[in-house]
Amino acid sequence: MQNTLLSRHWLGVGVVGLSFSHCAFGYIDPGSGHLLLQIVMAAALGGLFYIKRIIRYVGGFFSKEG
Amino acid sequence: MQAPPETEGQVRCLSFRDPAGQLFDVENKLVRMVEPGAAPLLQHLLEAPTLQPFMESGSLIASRTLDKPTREHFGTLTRRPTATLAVEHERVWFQSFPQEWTPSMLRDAGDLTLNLAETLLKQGCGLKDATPQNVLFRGPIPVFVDWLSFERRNEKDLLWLPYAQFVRSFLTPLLLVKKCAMSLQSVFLNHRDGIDHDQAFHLIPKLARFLPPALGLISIPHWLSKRGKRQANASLYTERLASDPEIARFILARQFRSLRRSLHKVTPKSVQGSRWDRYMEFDYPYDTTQLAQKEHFIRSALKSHAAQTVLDAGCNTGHFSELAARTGAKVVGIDFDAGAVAATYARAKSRKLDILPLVVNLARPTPAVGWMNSEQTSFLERARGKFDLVLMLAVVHHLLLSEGVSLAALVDLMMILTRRHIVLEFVGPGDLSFQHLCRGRDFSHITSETFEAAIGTGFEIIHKERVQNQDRTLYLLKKRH
Repeated sequence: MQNTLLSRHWLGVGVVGLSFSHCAFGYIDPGSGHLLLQIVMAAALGGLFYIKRIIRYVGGFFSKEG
Repeated sequence: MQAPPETEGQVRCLSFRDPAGQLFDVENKLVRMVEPGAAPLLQHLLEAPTLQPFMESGSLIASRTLDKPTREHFGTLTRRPTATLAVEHERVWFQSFPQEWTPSMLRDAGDLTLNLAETLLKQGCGLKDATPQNVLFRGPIPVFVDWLSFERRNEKDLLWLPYAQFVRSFLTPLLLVKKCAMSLQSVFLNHRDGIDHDQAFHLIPKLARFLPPALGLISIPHWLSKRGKRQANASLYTERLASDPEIARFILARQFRSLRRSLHKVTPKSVQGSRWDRYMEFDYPYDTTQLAQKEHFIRSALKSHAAQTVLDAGCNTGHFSELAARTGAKVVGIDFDAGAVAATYARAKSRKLDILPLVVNLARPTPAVGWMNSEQTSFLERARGKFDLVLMLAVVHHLLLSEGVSLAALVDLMMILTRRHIVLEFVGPGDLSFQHLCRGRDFSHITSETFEAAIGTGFEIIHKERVQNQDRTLYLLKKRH
């Protein structure tokens, strides 16, 4: 179960940064440079999310073994 | 707001941008008429426990839904018949704008904005804008006033669209104050929505561009925007979705934390170039007996005339604003020196005093700016009829000598500022401070006698007292109607 969940989330890493069809709400100016920076940061933080998850998973596996 | 941008009988439109609804001053109520798309979420948030702690602590403006007949009545008056929700907001007693704040006030407004964004994130909601224009101050406490900023988020959305607005309207102005000794007044009077990275890049010193925090906040976005311009297509502005809401929440929570760290990092600890922020400590010309005499005079005036609202014009670091606040009055303290006002703000905040300190130059008060010059009213429009008593302590000689204002013009201003009384300290020609400001010019026409004669055209002298061993006189004046 855990493995299935993990692999599904690995697939999620690839989704980070992909475009979907909704356009931004037109009320405020989202900038361009900051938007690109946010996308880059989101990808990096997405990676961090999975690294933490793997560490937790591996940690949990060994504690169960113990 | 006092100057009506759009007046029809008793109706004044106070907001101009948000398509989800508009704010009106109608029949002495602040009413937000909400369009159908935004009404369900607003109705839900008004009743849900999520935002209750903010309302209870006073950092979110208290609001209530109006019943259907009242909504329809206001819908007709405001010509917004399509609105499906009407919300009445509590009124903040004295409006202030970012161009009148100190860096520490802007930081606290930013902190509140991020607090709300973080809290809402856990509930699947968010802020659709992040601007200091959404915040007012009640005394030294920031209050978030725009309920229509709240929106339902796509829980998988990885981006916070107001990120750039937060950077250009909170972080960049603070960074420019810190690195370039710019004033928030010059930033916000000219740039309602803050300063974008392309402009800021050229203002920041060359070396600072390559170092944090300017590197991440200004330089990298500036370089990336060149790439964005080349792309220049709508694909940049589309939602980015994660496969799981948990990932999106993790990413956004980290980004809010990073913005908060930057906010505190870019806020200057002191205001560069302040000449008056240590005046009471080192340059004050009064000894303890003279100071006690002055304090007694002011306290008696405040108490005997039961002043509920006080303007301390030339408040310096807030010593006499505090004295007024401790008599139970609501106080607005103004000074042109941002460093002195920052000290007043720190005093009010740490001692929990009802003092709103603002950077306002009495000789050139904040002008009306924004859409139709009505979006942000002038300081004098906001002050007119608001104050029972005005303190003008050792400030008049600056206006007469440094600003070259005539005695008659001074009386005109005093008539606008107060509803009833003025406590004024007149610094006479025998005082060193007066002589210093003369700089060799002939101001022999300004004496106690000519001053009293001019004052007599608008005010009655109730009481006057000469400060011991000083050419300074304290006056309690009553406005003639």
